[in-house]
Formats: sequence, structure tokens, C-alpha cells
Amino acid sequence: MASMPIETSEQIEQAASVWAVKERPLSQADETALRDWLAGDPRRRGALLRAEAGWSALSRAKALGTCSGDRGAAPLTKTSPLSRRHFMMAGAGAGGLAAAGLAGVLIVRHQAETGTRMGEIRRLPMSDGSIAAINTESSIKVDMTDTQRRIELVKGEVWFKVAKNKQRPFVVTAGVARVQAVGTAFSVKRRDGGAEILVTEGTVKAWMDGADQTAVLLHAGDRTFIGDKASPKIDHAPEAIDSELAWREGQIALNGKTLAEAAAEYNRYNQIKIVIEDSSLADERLLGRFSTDDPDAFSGAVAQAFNADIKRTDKAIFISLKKSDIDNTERPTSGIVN
Amino acid sequence: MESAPRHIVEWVGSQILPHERDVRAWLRRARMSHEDVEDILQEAYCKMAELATIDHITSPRGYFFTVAKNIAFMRLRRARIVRIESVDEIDRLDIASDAPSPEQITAARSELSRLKRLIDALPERCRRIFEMRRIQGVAQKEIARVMGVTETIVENETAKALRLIMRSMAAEDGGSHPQKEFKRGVDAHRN
Repeated sequence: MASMPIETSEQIEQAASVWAVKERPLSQADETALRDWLAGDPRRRGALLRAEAGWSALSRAKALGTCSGDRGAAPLTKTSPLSRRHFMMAGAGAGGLAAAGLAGVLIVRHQAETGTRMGEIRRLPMSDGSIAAINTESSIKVDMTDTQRRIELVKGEVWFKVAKNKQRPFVVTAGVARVQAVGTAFSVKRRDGGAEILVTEGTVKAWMDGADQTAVLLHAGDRTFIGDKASPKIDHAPEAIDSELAWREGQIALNGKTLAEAAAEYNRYNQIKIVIEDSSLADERLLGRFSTDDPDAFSGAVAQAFNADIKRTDKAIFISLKKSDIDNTERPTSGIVN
Repeated sequence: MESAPRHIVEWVGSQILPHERDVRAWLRRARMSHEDVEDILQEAYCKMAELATIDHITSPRGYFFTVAKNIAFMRLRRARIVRIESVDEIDRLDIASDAPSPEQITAARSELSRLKRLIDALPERCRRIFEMRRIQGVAQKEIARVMGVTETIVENETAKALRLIMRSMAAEDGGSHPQKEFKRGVDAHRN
């Protein structure tokens, strides 16, 4: 054969399964062959991981050793000195499997403060059945008692989906701002001097610490800022709220944001910063949604839409107009980089 | 390039694979082709093979969905001419609840009996070799001797059992019988 056709994912899967079941440790020759095979196509490493993971998960099949000694394999069961140990290991494995589903819940009960690093977005199921989605570089303290559910937003932004429980009010403190919910969903974002509150479901009560009489009721689609200033202003903007909370799905919604705003948003999530070098580019408006963790894909799409140049270093991605293009009027005035 | 570290392999085996069926069904709902879905899953596993640590992932299920979703989006973007509806549909697919429901936990428990049915339904030689290799932990050489076949055959039969079981486990219909192996594309026409 002169040239190899592109492998289908099934062909890769087949080869990967053979590598996964090979007895370990591999021989020197197999070690080299595996390395060469992996280097041949980047997809192979994923396929190998999946097959190895499946093989590893099948260790729980050892638990069947006791009940399926009836057929084919029976002659070996009795003579194998390994079988008893295998049975015990399998017991441990099955327990682990059942416990795995509960791990997320247990973590919160024992851990008062939890947070995220830059670029990380974490969903946290809490012991009362509520869920917190924690945005990049944020931190919360959880204090669950029989009479109260108190959450302190230490920094950053968190969206809460609150499990209904009238006996245990759910109260979030964020600097001077206070937000109380019964069964609802809302986000709180710390900003200078207070916190911004976006409500996605139900109703919440929000007020400034020490000024309960100025408390406002916010309904689904409402947003407000609670801070030093007098009575809070409430906006009803359900679509804008939906876009602003796109981070819960690991995305940034660009709905009409300028390129400068979009870059600032990316820079919240990534060590590699996007720098817009031309002011005329910075004011361009964008539509679309992109992953928070992929500034390269975003700058690539921007470069395509505006015919811009990209320079990339270890720390930053510089986006600038192509020199020859500055006088060119063909450039679109609004880019849709979907 | 090396294969992924041990703790990642075990984590994927116990925390990620059980959700593959749901992720696949979810991508199919966005009207993606069979080939696209398989490619996206493979790319997701590639991404996991790059992980050095999993400490920051509290919800493996949510993580799996998010990675698949991001890859799906990236592929759409690379397509140059993007069907806006696809973008929209993947967008609307809600990563429903990434905390497993009580039903899913119960399902994990009944999985062992399902696994037994799947093993029982394997082709005869494949089943015997798999049982000796994975359940009894018999050395490959020993299996080859007992069965009177070469070690390569033992390897290939074991690998086939692994593939058949994984496919049935991850099948959208949750089928309890191993599916036939199928080839597609060039090979299928050649044979």
C-alpha cells in the first residue's frame, strides 16, 4: 500500500483495546512499539486511555468469580491460589463504586471553605440539596446548621440553585450585601463596595447589612447592585442575565460586547492574556459564545472575522490590524464570529 | 509519548466511563452524526489523557459533559461555514444535573449483574479467555497452554471481549447483549 488511509475511530479503538489488555509490564520491544503507535496519531492516546480505563473498571468483574465458577473457567478456579485474594479486592471495588456517587455531597459537609483557581469553574452539590456553580477565582464559606444555611461569598462570583426549605433560610453574605432565598436560583458577584445580584428563578430578598428596611424583592430576570448607595435600582433583563451566566456552562457569551470587553472577560479566566493593540479593533462588537478556557480559538475566530494579525507569546496573545489593511475599507463593521 | 498515569486511568474507569452513555445520547440529540459523536468522545479522552491531576474536578460527570460540549463547539467553529442551528442546539442542551441522581447510584449497583449477563453473552472462546484473564487473573501464557492457542490469540480475544463489553455498556439503548462488531468505510467495501 502506497499511502495509509485515515484511520476511523473504530480502527483506533480496536488497536487501543489490544494495547490495553497486554500483560504489564510490557516487554522492551512492546514498550517501543506502543510509544511509536501513540506518536502516530494524537487521537490514539485518548483511545488508549478509554480502553485502559475500561479494562481497569472491569476489575469489578472479579466479584463475579464466586458466582460464575459454574462454566468454562471452573477447572482453574479451584487450583488458582489467587482467587481468594481477587475476591476480596473485588469487594473493595464494588463498595468504592457505590460510594463514588456520594463523594461530591460528602466533600461539602466536611469542608467549610471552597474555591476555584483562575480558569476553573466548579459545580458544587451541597449537603442540603442545593447546588453552587463557582466561577473563576472565587471562594465561598459554607455553614450549614439545622436552622440556617449561611454562605459567605469571600470573593468572586457564584450562582446558587437553592433547594426549597422554609425552615432553613438560605442567606448569602457578600461584603455589605445580604441575599436571602427560599427556593430559587440566583447569582452573586462581588464588586467594589458591594455585590451584583442576578435572579434566574423564583424570588430573593436583598438588602445592605444594617439597612434591612431598604430590602428589595427581586424576581426571575431581575438584576440589581447592593452597595453603599441608597435604594437599589432594579433592572429587568432576563436575556442579559442568561448571557452573563454563560460561564456556568464554561462559556463566555459575547452578545454585543466590544472586543475590548470580551478580552477583559477572557483575561478573568486565563493566564495567557489577550491584548488588543488597535483601538479601532477594540470597539468592534461581537456575537457568539466561546469556551472560557480557549483564548486561542477565540482570537483565531476574531482574526478571521476582522482579518487581523495574531502574535502569540508565552504570556499573551496580541491582536492587531494587518498593516496593509489599515487603509482598507473592506473590513466589516460588525463581526459575527459564531 | 506515554500512556496516561495509573491514577487517571482508574479515575476515568470508575468516574467517567459510567457516564459515556449519557454523553453520547446527549450529543446525538444535537443531531450530530455517529462519526462526529465518536470523534468528539475520542477527543475528550485525549484531553483527559493530558490531565496531570484530577483534584480540582468535583463532578466528573459535569466535567465530561463540559469537555464534550467544548469540543463540539470547537469543531463547529472549525467547520468554517457553521450551521447556526447546531451552535444553538448544543447551546440549549442543558448539562442537566451533574450530580448523579439516586436512580443512577442504584444503577451502579445493579451494573454488576448486567456485566455478568454481558460476559455470558460473549462468543464462547472469547468468554472463556476473558473470564480466565480478568476474573481469575490467570497468566496469558497459561491460558494459551490450556486453550491450545497462541498468546497473540489470547490477547486478541481478550481485547475483543473488552471492546464488546464497553460498547454494550455505553450503547444508547442500554442493550444488555453485546453488539456485533461492525466495520465501516473502506474495509467494509473491500471485504
